[in-house]
Amino acid sequence: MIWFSLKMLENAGFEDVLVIIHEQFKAEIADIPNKYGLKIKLDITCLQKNEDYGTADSLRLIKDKIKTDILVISCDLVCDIPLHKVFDLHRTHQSSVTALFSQTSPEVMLAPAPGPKTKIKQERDLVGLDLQTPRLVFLVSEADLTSENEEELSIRKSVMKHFPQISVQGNLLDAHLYVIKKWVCDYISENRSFTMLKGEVLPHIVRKQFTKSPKRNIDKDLPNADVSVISLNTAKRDIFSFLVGDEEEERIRSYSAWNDHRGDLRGPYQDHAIRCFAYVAKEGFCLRANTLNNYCELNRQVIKRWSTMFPDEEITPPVSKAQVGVDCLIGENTQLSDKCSIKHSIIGQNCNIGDKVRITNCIIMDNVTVMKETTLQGSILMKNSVVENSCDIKDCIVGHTVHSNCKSTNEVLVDADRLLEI
Amino acid sequence: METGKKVQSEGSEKTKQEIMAERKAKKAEKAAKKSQPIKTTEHGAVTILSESIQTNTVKADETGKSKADLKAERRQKQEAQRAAKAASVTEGKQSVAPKVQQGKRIPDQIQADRPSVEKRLVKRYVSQKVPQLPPAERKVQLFSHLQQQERTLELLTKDLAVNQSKIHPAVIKLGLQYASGIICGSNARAVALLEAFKRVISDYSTPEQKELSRDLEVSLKPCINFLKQCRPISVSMGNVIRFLKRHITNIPSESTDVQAKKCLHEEIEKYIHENVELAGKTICEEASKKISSGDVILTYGYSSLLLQILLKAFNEDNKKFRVIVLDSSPRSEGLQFLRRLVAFKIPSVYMLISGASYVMPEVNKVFLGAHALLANGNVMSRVGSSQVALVAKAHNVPVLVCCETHKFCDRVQTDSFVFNELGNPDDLVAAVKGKPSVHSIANWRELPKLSLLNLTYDVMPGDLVTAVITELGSVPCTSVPVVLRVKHAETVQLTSP
Repeated sequence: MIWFSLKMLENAGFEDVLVIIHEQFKAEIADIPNKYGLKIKLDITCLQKNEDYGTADSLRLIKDKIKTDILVISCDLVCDIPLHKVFDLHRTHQSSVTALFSQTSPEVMLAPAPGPKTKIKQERDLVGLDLQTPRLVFLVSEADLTSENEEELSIRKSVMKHFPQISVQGNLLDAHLYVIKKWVCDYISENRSFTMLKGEVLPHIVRKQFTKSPKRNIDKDLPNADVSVISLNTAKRDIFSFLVGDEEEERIRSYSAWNDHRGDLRGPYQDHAIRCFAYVAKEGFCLRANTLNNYCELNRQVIKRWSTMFPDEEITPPVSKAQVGVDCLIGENTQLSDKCSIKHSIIGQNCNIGDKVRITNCIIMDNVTVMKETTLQGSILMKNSVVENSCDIKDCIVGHTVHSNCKSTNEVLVDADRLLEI
Repeated sequence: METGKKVQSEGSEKTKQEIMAERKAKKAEKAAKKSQPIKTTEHGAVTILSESIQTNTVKADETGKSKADLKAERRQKQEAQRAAKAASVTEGKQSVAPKVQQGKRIPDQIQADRPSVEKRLVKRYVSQKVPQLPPAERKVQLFSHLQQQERTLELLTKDLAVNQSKIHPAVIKLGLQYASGIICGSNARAVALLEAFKRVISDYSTPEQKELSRDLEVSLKPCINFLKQCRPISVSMGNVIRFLKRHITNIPSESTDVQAKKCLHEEIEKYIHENVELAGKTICEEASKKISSGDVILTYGYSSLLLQILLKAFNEDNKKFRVIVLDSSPRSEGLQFLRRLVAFKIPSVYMLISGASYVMPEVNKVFLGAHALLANGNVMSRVGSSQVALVAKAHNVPVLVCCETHKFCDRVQTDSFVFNELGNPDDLVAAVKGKPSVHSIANWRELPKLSLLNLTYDVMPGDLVTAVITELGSVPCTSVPVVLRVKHAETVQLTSP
């Protein structure tokens, strides 16, 4: 899964990647560059199994390794949008945080998923973008909204004053790809109250754009030289004290005749020292596999778009007498018996598919055994699972073993004594 | 030179004539020594850019004295040899005085229609891994000698990997800011360039077996070429690059990296401080004397220096004047000028350039900013300023150009065609930002006979300008070559050990 992100980074030209994962996956991830021929170098930091770290906490962990502006992505992102456009936005405007959003098609959101039928609550974000410039004006996730006020979105007056024309969109997919300046990382590491990058830090910084920066000449505040002043060094530094290197930029901007908007007396970027920008990708494929729905849809879409996304990689077509549809992806060392028919599916490595098996729209992981005369439809078979003869499985998630002649629909099938992490 | 030739063509040799020849040769040397510096500047000033003219260039000017010495020595030797030969049978061939320079070298930027030059440039860019922009689909024939490219931001960084080592990230950022117009204006571009170079220098580390004074220059080349692709460099930037190269080559080879970097940083700070900040202050003082209360001042476009002058005159010297700001599309820089004036509560009027002749009768003075001052006294400024100056001259309104000396250039131009920058033609179509109105020629690329031209600069003749206010005082336009000569002499003095 992480291969997609690594490949995307390699295409963009990155050479070193800092990976933060749970300890149990360390060996597997470390092996990926060798296994798949990636030239990128991984620097892996492990999280202890029991601790529950959010993204911001993880960033705090590696703060010593952060020396410049960083790109944060989650490993469940598959996207072929050229990253240099996001970087250009970040570089040109020297934004504090640049986020990538994608306009996705509605069908993706509503595709059915295997497993028990739960009420699908899509997590939406309400993204406010300025119409004239690519600035991100506010970012609220729908879940936060409905918990506080009854479906009311309140926008501050300062926001409206600075940006009279805002477009609020709910159909944008947040790709969780952020380019963050170094000072923001320092700010996060100082403030221990942040746990999640997307949930807490990002809306906080987007809101902070509109706070007035304190005046710089603090020396004038000391009125009387005789009186001894005990400076209260509060533990919490103001966010503006983290901004470094901005004076030269401001000086150059004051010489330059450019403004990103016209019609009011404010300077470029509305005289904001903190700026957040958003790049909305109108073309290109971008999807995150953070829900089961998305995961299934992703698998389906990836096969279709493989050639456009990764023109250098090739899928070796399987050699066997089985009827394999065009939309399928079969891993290495998989044994397909004759007379099995596979359509729109992805099969992992080292699998063993028996005779007269019909597989449609399935995702089968590595090391799976499917015995003969089974019908699998729209299901996910986890690693090392076994499906025995004559089963009829529809829209299920198979954890371990399915005994013969089992007919199930929309269930999660596990052994009684073992747990399954979805 | 001529006397020497004449003597030789006489052919038959008598001892008396030999002696005469030698005496004349010595006189010629002495005269050459004395007149060498002066002759070259005159020649250099009048030269029009063409290959065939055999004149001394300004390069000779910089090392004028030492070259004259060498020449004198060489001539002495030659005379002696000639005299010896003349005693023998063959007639002395016409000894040609050593040619000093073949002629002026035409810069690459104005040879875009020559395939050989284009090929050479492309090869250089490929070897330095600088992204290249594709040529424009529809070129304007009259300006085919200038670079016309599809200058979209994405094409610049499409193939530029994030971690490539040739072009420093600060330079990439700078290039993108130039290309998108965020940094525009002569002073802003020069200062931004210096700040970026400061960062490049501090991140630079000399590889083994190489000297900083040579290798740093080589490593700066891809950066400069990248900036050239983003936007053709301005005269002030050109002067900055020359200044920096001179200082880099003058670094003594024994100094360590740290020392050299510190030295370069100090020089850069000094350049900014002296040439931009202090010069600005001096010009403000000088120009403020020219403004009196009750004046109506006309300005065109945006100039950071003019803004400083007007603010100082209004705030510190408490002069009550009002400003008329003229503006033109597509850049609408006058709007930004107006915004800053209004923020300081200076009474201002905003008009488009088409109203220049309407408003000129009530104007007392015209203040203009300049992009560069050319060596023949012409002023290169934003397109439209020469129009304003012309109208002002017709109404007998004095035109004052304010320009720091770091924008002086030893180039000579009499028209705006030879050397100019062609901006994005699409800017002319989408003139009003934020309004999604469909312009009538939005599909201009489909009309085969239509091509859009977006000139950036124009050249105003020196006789339209009353005075140029520099930090050396108010000078007439014609004294630009003198200032240049003084500056060159200073730099030669400073850099030669």
